[in-house]
Amino acid sequence: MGRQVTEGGRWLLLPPLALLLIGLIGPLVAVLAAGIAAEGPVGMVTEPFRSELFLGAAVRTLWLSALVAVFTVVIGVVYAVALVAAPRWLAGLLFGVLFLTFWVSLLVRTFGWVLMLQPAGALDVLVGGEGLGLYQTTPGLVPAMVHIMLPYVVLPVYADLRGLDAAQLRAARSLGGGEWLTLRSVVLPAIRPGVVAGAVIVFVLSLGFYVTPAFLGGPGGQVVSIVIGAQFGRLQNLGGAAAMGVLLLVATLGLYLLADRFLGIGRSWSAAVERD
Amino acid sequence: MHSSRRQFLTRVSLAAGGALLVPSVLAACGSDTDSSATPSAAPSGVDAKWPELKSRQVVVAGFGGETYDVRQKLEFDPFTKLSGARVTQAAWDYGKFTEMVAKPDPEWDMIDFDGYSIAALIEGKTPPGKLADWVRRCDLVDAAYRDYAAGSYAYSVVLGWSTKLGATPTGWADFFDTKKFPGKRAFPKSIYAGTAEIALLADGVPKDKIYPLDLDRAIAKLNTIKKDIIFYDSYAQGQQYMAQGSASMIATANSRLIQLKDSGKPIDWTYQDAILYPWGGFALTQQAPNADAANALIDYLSTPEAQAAVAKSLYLGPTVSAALDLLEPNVLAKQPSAPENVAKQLSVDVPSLAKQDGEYVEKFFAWVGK
Repeated sequence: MGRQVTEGGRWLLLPPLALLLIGLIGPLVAVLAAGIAAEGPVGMVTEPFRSELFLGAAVRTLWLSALVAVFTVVIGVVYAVALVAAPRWLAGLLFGVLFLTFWVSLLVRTFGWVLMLQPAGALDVLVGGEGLGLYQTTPGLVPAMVHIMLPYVVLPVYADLRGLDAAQLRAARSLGGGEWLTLRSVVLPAIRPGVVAGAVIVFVLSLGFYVTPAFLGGPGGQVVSIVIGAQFGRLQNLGGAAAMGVLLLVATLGLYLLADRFLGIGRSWSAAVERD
Repeated sequence: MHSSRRQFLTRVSLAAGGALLVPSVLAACGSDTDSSATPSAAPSGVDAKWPELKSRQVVVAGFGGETYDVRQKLEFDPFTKLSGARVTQAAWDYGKFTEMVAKPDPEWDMIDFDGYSIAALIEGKTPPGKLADWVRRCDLVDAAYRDYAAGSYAYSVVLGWSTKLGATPTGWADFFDTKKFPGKRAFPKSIYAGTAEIALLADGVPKDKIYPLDLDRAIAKLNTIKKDIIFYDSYAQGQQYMAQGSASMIATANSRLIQLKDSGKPIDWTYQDAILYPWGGFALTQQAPNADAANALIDYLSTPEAQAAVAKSLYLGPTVSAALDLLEPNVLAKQPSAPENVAKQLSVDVPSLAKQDGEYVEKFFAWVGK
């Protein structure tokens, strides 16, 4: 960022630009064109708002994503601290478990949660009795999504913690800071960029999450991506799907830009890049 | 194609999750394969009327999963041997077929469809291609549709239950009685899986008064157990609910329960008051690029021998009555279209159901998404 690209190096930008054009801008233009052709430019904007179902799904998606982001940050920070503080063998194990969640297919992990949460599933056997009744409910999505999102918080926070100089901690303690004060005035500021970046990426990814709600959620608790997805297939409602899809994209970008403006995500990410 | 509010609501309520489960896909997702069940002999003289088909091909949108291998072995390979035409299977998609059915140069020649899908296409003025005159017709298909559909199967949506319940349920009313029969109910997240009919029968509507469907009454009845329902997206998932004990009762395809019971699971089921979808059919695109080969394949699939082989292996009922005569008594007893079983069931009125398609979609998915 911000460095001058040398004359010859400019050509290196071609592959990513081509990818951007073919993979993102092209399809986006096609979606916009399909939506406007079917609904008209005004209908494209108003159509999603005329549906109670879509609006309900939108509200549900927002609070679900926020809830997932909060839980993921809390658990992710604790996990990252454990990675730094644990003895070598335990840290290795914790890393292994974390990366397993990356390596095992999303679909497989989701089915794992289905088997956990469904009536008479693993969790009900453990808990006994009537069971938890989380299956095919919106709250039931939270633990599965937190599990899937965890690495996105743990890794940046872990990087921040590694960058924290142990001498700073010793200095804080030797100057009379208690554990709480040290945590608040040394550790937390150090991991702030990681926490913010992780929280935002988890929130944004959750907004468009499809697989887990499709298999674990109930029909009465649809999220936006499911409503959009169902416009294709039997419905063949390209216009409606395009309108809703573009709205989701715009809302996501808007929220991201807000976060960037007030929390400085872009800065903390480029800071992370500079540091590495 | 600016859409009215009503149409939009229909589509969005469908989006409430139901479109994920296409009943036809479920219908043919049969049970395990019996590798010995190939047609005992190629039906003699079947190819007499066929045009020259050597090195031709035909593109079929069939059901994936388990049925893929079964169909390949029991139906498509023998056909290729007989005709020389290659069969290419494409991934089944209702919307894709309706999009291409009337257009020039369609990607597919034919699709495996349920009766109501074919009836709805005809109702909607985009009928499938007409079968060639020399293709044999299936006598269990409703007469009005015999020129558009042949070579596929019947299936039933039956009541299944865990034998651990103690008492034995005797009908759909028990499916709605969670006091007498505790536990979750596994129910399709879809229409055309006996969905409305089950509720109406349970509510006391006599079999001969079911059609046209009183959908508001059906939904009111379904509401009484909504909190006790766990929905399934595919018949495989419903099967898994029962195998695991997540649900104590289920409404699902006959083949799936036969499979569970045969594998020794504590599960039983009955054809009594089951919802019989009496026929399906392979349907052509209007301008099928390989129309000759596709017609010949449908002709082959409609032979009693080919029909019997699949019935034996997948418990999908033949739509040719002569095929029933080829089945051993113990196999016949498990067939949804065996006369003895037909008498016990509610036979779906395909033409009447096709007329209610839009209303059915709208009301069910508005309910399920609530």
